[in-house]
Amino acid sequence: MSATAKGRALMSEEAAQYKVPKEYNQAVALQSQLVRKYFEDVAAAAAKGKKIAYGLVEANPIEILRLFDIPVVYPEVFSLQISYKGGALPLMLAAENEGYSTDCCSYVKSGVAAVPPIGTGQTPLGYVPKPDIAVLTYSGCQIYIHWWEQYHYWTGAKIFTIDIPYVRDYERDHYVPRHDIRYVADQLMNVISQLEQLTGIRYSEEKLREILTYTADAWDHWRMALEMGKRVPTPLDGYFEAIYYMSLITLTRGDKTTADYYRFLVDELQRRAEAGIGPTPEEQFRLVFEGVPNYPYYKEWWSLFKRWNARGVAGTYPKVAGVVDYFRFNPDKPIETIAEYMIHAYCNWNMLMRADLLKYYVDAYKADGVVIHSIKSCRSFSMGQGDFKEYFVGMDIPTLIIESDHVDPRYYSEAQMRNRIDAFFESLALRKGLK
Amino acid sequence: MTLLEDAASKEPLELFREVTEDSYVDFSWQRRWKEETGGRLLGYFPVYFPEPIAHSLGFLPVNILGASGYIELEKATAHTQSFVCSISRSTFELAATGHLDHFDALAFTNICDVARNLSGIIKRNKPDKTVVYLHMPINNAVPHAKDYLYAEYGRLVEKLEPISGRKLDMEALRRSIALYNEKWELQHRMEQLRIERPWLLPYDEYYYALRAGQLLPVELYVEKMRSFLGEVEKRDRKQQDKIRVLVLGDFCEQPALPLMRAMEDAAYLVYDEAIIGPRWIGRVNEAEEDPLMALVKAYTDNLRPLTTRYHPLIDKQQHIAELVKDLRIDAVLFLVPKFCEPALYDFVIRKLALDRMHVPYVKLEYEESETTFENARMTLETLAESIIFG
Ligand code: SF4
Ligand code: SF4
Repeated sequence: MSATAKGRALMSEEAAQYKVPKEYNQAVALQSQLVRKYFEDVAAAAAKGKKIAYGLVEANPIEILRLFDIPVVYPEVFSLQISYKGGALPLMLAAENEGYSTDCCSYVKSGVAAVPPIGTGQTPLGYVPKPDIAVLTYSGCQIYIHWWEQYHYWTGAKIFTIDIPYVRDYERDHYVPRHDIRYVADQLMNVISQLEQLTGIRYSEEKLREILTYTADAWDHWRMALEMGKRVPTPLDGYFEAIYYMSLITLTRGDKTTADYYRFLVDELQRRAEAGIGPTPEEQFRLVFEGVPNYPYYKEWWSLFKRWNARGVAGTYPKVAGVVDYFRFNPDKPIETIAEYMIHAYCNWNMLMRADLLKYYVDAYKADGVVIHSIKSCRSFSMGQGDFKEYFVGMDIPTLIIESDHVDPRYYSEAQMRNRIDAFFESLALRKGLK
Repeated sequence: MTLLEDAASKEPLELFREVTEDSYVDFSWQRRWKEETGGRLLGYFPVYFPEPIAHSLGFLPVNILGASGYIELEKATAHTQSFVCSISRSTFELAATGHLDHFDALAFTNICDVARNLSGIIKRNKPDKTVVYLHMPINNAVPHAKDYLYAEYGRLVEKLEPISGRKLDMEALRRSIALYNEKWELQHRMEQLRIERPWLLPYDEYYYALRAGQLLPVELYVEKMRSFLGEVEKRDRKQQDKIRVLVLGDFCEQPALPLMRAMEDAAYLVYDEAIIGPRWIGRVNEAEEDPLMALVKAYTDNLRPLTTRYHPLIDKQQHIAELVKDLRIDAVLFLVPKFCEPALYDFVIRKLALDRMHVPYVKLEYEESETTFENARMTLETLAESIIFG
């Protein structure tokens, strides 16, 4: 066991097992309840014969689909949930049996293998219907296109495409050409007219504004919640807990319940801060996280950090549904604001902007170091993360790279992971003069 | 002797082989071209790039196709992940070790997440280099895609003009398009030759001839290519008893030539996707009033499938069925670069169609630096024997 100069334990199993007192941890329970309800509502809608859309986390135009009363299933979300509940391996094997390689994104494999014709739709989460339409929002991930094509060829689902240009001008930071916004906005109008035909519901800009007002409210509170990570000590884990909190901003944005949820979250975190409560017994290390988490061993993996009383102060993954630090919704320009939202998904930012965002987090959130979780089957996130490390090390920012997968449990080695993480904290402790 | 005089004096195949081998790491041919002509160099990553735009602005557009195992990966090992394809890693190594320094600009397009991120990390490590990333449209069935791509090509022009000191001139662009159309015609003629009489043109000659088109000035290339094809068409060689194989998956990373030779021992590889971009684009309409729009339409209205470009109106399964029928294919060889997800997903889509049609296929994965090909040869041989002997 590692100890401080004063003999106090730097690392402890009690810290690893620590749970935030219930009265300060109601937002997690509430989000689980709301997510469960969301899954039940979708299954009930499918049972009544309603047309089901599949949507993607990055850049999903949920406000528009709400307008047309179309229930949306997010295969990324059901895949991660299945994995979290320990049910991914049979789906990996079923997909591989159909010709998918071990090198394919494991979201795609579980997403395709869970529903007919490969699977039955019965999952540890309940029934997941197959898609009637698949809304392809090509933002931040090229594999989205290939994934949606799989659904098309396996199930006959019709693809509604929205092409979202990458934020790609290396000479001008954050520069988005006008032709990009116009192109996305034009495509949104195109999808709207297709949805009008499909549902018989007429498009109402006024109603869309109303929906977006709830979205903007939820979005602002979501940002306030995450920015609490700037406090020293931080009342929340801006990575491990934020990943729970981000479900609703993706799944159910645009209604009062979701907006209320994020107010509730901000209140709870405020109460935590006032009571001096946080995600670990104390705050010894402050970390910024880059990358998708390990879902199959989520709690075990988190505990490897908790046992060092380390808290995530900020993370990039909770920004996949939009870089909340940077972007604000403007309900007065409904189509344009949705177009801009779709452009500013984290992985749709170029690598220079991604590295700068991480550097900003290190500075603004007073972090001790960066942890990069490089997942093997997601190259959108992972390709070039080694370059981030070289960049940060060049600026004397301690950086750890660890590898596993977000869904496939076969890529997780607890012993190896523990050794790497422990060695990182040992050197951080030395650097902070804790030893 | 100047570089161009030297090139003119060489047999086409000798020149094609020489520039191909030089392009694995050194690009010394292009460096000399730049020194002697004062022109500008633009390096572009696969799969497709609108070469006439760069050409009309005084650039020599050069396809960067990875180091084919001829460079030790050192910097790339630290900066890129181990689970990405080898073309991206070796291209990073080439850039990081200064082998691409004489290129005035590097261009990438949205073929996959790996190439996309590669463009960014090259820029971060080479901040003075102009790195252009073009987002090519995927929603090509809507009219807005054309306006968008037109503006995107405009952005490319804005990046390139200050480097060459030339302004885009529509007449010059028209002439460039005509030259690249000639290149396309010749490559198409070679493609047809391999479909009809593959025994006349061995794979490695075909490959050198294709790749040289991505490395030489187009004016020189069309001249050499014309004489090369004239010679090949006059050859008198005997057809062998081999099955006809369609090769899919090699559209970006380059399989090692010895691997392809080993495959060719077992079968006629009548069609493949090697250096597919310039072949895929087809003939650009020279009669279109606005030549930039002609280039746009050649891309957006192209209904031939390309793994790295989505088009809502394309049916990939129907296309492979037609290909198998039209090219009288006995078997399909999926030749997939290790870790190349686009190829891995298209494999499943196409395999489903082949299963329905009872067309035999095999899937092999490759890496740039591979040196043993025996297993691959045996796999294809076994398949060929099962077809020939029932
Ligand atoms: S972003 Fe990564 S994890 Fe998500 S779908 Fe794309 S490849 Fe898979
Ligand atoms: S080989 Fe495949 S994964 Fe690699 S850069 Fe080319 S298309 Fe992308």
